[in-house]
Amino acid sequence: MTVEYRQDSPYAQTRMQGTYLDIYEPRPIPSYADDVLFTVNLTYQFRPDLLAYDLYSNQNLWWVFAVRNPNAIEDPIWDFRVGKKIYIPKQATLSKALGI
Amino acid sequence: MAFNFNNITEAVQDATSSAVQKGLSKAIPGDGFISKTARGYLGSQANRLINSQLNPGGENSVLPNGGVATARFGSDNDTRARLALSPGSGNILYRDPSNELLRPLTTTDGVVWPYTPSINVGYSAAYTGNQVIHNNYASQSYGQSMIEQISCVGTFTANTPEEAEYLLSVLHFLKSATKSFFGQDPNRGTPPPVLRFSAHGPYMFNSVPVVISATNFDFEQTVDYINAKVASGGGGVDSTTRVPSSISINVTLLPVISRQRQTEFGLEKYARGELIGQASGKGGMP
Repeated sequence: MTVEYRQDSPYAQTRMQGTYLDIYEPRPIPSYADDVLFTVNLTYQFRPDLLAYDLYSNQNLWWVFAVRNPNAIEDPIWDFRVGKKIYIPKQATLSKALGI
Repeated sequence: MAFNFNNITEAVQDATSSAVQKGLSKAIPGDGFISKTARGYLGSQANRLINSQLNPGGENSVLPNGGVATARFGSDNDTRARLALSPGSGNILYRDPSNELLRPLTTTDGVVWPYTPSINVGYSAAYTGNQVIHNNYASQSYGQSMIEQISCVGTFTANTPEEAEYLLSVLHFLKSATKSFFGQDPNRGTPPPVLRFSAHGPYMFNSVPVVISATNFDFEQTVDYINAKVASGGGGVDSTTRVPSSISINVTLLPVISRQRQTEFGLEKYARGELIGQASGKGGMP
């Protein structure tokens, strides 16, 4: 039985081999010069899901911040700490890149 | 009477929050449990964004002058050599959202030399010697001071497809920045863009306004070439382009200080280091 991941999942493009996931297929988020630079505050510390919900009304997009900021975030959750400067991808960018 | 700016900030945030609550009351009227819960839920979501100075969808804030507030690469704390567009240049070259070829430069806000380049610059003061007859020494009359061209020579390498894309963008940006807007351009007649050059920290070259007077690339035959895949090439041809895995790039820059900026010059201020530039503000005086 195969599972179909949603389009807002980081595994949406990764194929299934039987009941196992194949090699991870990255989902790049394009970067734009006018993306907003945000310093993570106490409200969103370790809560990329909350930031994704507040920005995009979709908590499943918690992983896009780590993909958009590979130099700043290695661990999507525990690197999301106070003082970390990250770029915020726009809703339109995500819609185009992820097809959501 | 001294103002407490913290109180003012809190007052503005309180006013914004109450405006959000008023808007929600209009959007979701009623005093029922569901209405109250929905208002509280959406209100806290909006308040969190407001307190974090974010806009829904990650959109930019619109400034009172109609411009768009953007936060760019944190070049203020970066001491690497960088050649970037001026902060007020508008959406041209790599800041053009439709420009796929130069997009890799957006992540670093311009060209960043990956290895420390060789920078050559000269400062001079010109004097005219008056040759007085029957005298042992000439009398020197001051003419003017000037900064000569900045020569920046550095090596770029490409060992991965991503680095190859970046190198291709660098080469194309430097070529493009030597040309003027012409022909079909909406702003045709405008000279080549003024750039900002930074290197080695604020008291060395800090966001110096420059124009490119010359650039040279050495495509050597003794190095490997690597494919750079561009998402959308022009001309409807295969967009795969080869770039050398190692290349020396020579850029000659001419400092350009506007007349307006020159009126702010003062030797004492310059000597105290008060005329250094800001990546997102006025250019520095070299």
